[in-house]
Amino acid sequence: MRSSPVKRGIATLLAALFALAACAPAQAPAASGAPAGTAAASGAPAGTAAPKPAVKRGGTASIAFSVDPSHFDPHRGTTAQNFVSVVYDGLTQFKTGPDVPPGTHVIEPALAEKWEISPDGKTYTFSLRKGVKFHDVAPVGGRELTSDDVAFSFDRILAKDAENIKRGLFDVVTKVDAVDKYTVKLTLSQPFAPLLANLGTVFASILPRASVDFKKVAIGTGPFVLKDFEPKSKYVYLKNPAYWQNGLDGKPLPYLDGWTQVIIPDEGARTSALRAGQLDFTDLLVDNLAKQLLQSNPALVSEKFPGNFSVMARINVKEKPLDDVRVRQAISLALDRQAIANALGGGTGIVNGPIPTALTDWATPVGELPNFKTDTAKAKQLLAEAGHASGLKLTAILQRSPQNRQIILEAMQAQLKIVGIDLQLQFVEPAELQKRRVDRNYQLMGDNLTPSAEPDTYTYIEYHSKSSGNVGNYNDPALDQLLDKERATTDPAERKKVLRDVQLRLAEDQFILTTGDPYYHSVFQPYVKGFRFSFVNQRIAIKNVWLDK
Amino acid sequence: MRRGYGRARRLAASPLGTFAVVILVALATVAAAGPLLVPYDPLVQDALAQAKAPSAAHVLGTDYLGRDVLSRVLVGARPSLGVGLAAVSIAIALGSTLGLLSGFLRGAFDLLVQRAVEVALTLPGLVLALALLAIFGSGTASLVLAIALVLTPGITRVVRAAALAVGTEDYIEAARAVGARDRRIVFRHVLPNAAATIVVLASLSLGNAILFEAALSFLGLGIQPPEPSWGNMLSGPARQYFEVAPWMAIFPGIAVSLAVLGFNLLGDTLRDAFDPRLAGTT
Amino acid sequence: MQRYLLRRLVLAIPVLVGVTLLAAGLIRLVPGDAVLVKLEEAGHVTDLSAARHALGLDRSFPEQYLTWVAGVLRGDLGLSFITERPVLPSVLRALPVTVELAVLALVVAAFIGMPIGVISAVRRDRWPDHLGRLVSVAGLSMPSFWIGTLVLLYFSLWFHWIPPIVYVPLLEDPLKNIQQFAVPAIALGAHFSAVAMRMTRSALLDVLGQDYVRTAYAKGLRERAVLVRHALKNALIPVVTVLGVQFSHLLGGTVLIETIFSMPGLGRLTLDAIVQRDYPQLQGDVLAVGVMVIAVTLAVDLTYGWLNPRIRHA
Repeated sequence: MRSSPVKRGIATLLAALFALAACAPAQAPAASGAPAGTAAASGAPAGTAAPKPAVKRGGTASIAFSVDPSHFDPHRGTTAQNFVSVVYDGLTQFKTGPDVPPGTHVIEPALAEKWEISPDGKTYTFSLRKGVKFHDVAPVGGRELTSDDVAFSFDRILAKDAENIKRGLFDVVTKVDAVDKYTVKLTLSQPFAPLLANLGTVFASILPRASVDFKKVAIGTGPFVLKDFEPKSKYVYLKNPAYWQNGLDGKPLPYLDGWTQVIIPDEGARTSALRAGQLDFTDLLVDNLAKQLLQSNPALVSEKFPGNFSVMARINVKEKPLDDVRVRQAISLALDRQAIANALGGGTGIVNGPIPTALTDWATPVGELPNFKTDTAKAKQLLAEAGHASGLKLTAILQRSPQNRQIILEAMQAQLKIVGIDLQLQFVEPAELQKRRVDRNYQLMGDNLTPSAEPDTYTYIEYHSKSSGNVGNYNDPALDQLLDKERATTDPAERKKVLRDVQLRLAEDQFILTTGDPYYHSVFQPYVKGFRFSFVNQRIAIKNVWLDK
Repeated sequence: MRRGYGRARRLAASPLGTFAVVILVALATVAAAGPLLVPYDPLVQDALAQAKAPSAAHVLGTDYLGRDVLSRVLVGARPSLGVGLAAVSIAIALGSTLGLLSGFLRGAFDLLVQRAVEVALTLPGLVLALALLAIFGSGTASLVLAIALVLTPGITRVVRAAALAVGTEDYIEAARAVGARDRRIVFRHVLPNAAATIVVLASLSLGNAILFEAALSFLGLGIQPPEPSWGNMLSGPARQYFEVAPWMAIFPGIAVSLAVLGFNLLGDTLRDAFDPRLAGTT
Repeated sequence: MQRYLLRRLVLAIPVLVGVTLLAAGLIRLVPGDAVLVKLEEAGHVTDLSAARHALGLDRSFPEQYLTWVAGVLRGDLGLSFITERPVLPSVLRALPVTVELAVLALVVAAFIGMPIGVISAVRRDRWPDHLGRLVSVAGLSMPSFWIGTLVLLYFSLWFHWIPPIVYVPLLEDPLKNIQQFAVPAIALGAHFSAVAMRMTRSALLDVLGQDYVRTAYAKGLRERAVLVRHALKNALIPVVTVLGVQFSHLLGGTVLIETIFSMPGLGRLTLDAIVQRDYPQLQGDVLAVGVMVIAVTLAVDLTYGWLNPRIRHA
């Protein structure tokens, strides 16, 4: 672990350089978890002196989503977040906007306007932004955010509730102190590199201290207020007139007066709706569908980016013969991952190692990972060594929806057949899949990793023997050691080296068979400006959207 | 016997009936000989030919994994038709027995059956099938059983009505007067006369069964991939690809429609042929 | 008349009990429960017994069912296991959507099927008859969800138009509402038009062969007058009856159509309730469906009695 004064010195120097280059007042340096750069002041463009686009205010927009949430609590479950990401803020946030190149993940201040990290990396002191108001909704009634609300939120974030699935992102936090009205101190059990990034996720939303049922009500500090909703139909958001962040024209965000999230379960219906002009944009459309849509509607605008959902087949290593690493490696060697990735995208796709290739800051190129290059001869040899020369029978369970699981597992079926492995597919309902996941009652399971800007989410959370997200009985002491090290290494360059070792080790272990990701497009009507999809933790960056009409 | 000739003649003379028979014979051939007719192995994936439009090489195009659609449609006939046949056989056997006994014996048994049928028919068939499939688990046997159970109440009701009608006829009374036992009467007299109804019902139910399989597969239950069935070719990734590669879903849909059309037309024509009101016309 | 109605209503109760009992029983046989569904990908679960107790899942089936019935009698359908919101408002919100869809589909079925049936009957065994029968049976043979998906795709491709996706109640904006319901109603109604056609045809054939019609011809009345004055009214009877019987099938069809056209109706609600093992929601949905079917059957019987005075509550 690098010594902190050196790191802070470098950060200060860089910030000073940026301050000079941007000709705009830079705020106090913030130690960032991402190696790509420092935090820029919110609202001011980073780096270049590009002319500011003339934004237009007003209007409403509609986008579609496939399924509505069962509740609104961002600290519970995994479906609420897509719907309340605009209602809440966190202490930090990821920089979003049209001037942020896709795939870059830069932490910047949000509700905390600056923070200090103790030399041992175990204490974070956040200074809250003053004058931030909650939404003017009863019973909170537009009062100011204070450290008490932050403490309250962290009680919920750290609660040992069965539905608090993402607790593992924060459980290194042992104590939260409201030092004074605008200062919060977090005490950690160890230095933790992912903290600031994790605090920028919707899972770390700051809620007001109030005795309301946050599953039924959503009151936060975010750019939009949840005004109204009809289950299975639509969710209507109105602009928060007192939002703390300013836009490119110096006035408070958001530019829109409001927006609607419409529920359309059928994917074909979603594209048809966009084509017919009933939706203003869609943030996530698979490559081949997007191309077709753009062909039939040349007026539409799109932006392409690689996915990082990483659809995969999870292996349960307690099940014979999958406990034998040679069998797992053989399976991996039999796969033609590029073909699978292409099938996901309808023609093109990217192969993923343990960390998705889209996470360019951290992912080791797949070509450098062992067992990722198709080699059916070696696969057969390994199987024979493991005592399965005459073939093997395996079962994979999967849900029907989303369909990408079916795509990859069907492809795997054919590819594994070549080396003598008979893979059976078993479709199960979500409730049953959940039960079998919890009981560890499966051999292979079709699933995807949680998209994140943080490599820790793709590694420690999934593979560490003590992680609550480890649902495959993985227990590799050498790997555990590396994982403990990576999350404690706060220096980005050093951390990258450790993560490379992690990925090499994972490629040997083949606990999870990652395949690939398609390219996605955000597609919008030509008058929609300012939107850029950002794969960070379910936050839809609608606050940057303005309509040129 | 003269009645029989008249019926057969009317059937043959009906253009719709002939059309139906032609379709069904073609389908039966495909189902029987399907695996021999296919230009490609329906399970082989061609990574370089994913989602290609119909062309000389692939007459109906390829699907999202590069499998030939024509081959899959041909091979898919067997499970799709097979499930329908199996389910309807069970449903007819169960439903006819219940309906005959209920309509003929009357009394407490009849009341019970009537109420049960009414309750079962109040629940939409698809919803019932979903619940049953969720209980039985996935697999072809579960699918057959679920569809059979859903079709049975409707069949029971119709057969019961037919049995009621027959049961009041004179020759039944005569048989009773002679001392024939109930079971004998049911099977020797009632059944043959209700046969016409049952045959028509069987044909129409086959159409329904195939539609059910398609609908259940569309919702995500049904015959397991990678074995192609027309129903499961309409669902899953085919839905995602529908905009860019509609041939993946259009051709199985046409296959389903043709099969159901054949069975419905046949049933329709049979019903007309057996209809005494039309006796005496060409 | 009152006594007849009353008797029918009383008889409806055991049916409702039977249907809800069936649904409640079946769903509890399905593996997995709502507590697991709510956990949504959780890897580690400690003790679910508290959560199960909160939902009443640790009580016996008869106890759970009877408690629910007691609630229903008070007008309380309970809380959804998944959303924890009251079931009754959600059902009441979804009901008009499905009712409107079903009614419009029936209207479409009648409007398409009956004229074809009349032509078929009058020109029996000649080519209009064959064509009419072929067309309407073809409609019956195509999976309604397939037609729906095709329509959505090609309308949007060719006309850059699709039915409005967000539900607007009829009373709020009739034009937009009809725009939204027209295509789904046609997709669903085309399916059932064959039934209407078939029944009209055979009923009309039946009537046309009867003595009083022949008498009318003998009196010199032209074909059309005979048709309208005598035959049609009597032919309506079995048609109405059959359409009433088909109502339950129709409701099954709404499940698929509602999913494709994103309509927030009872069909989708029921489907989701099954998948999510949301017992109170499912029981509430099934109760609503049962009430609808019984109401329709009753309406059909009353109409039948009105159309044919000889049959009036014998």
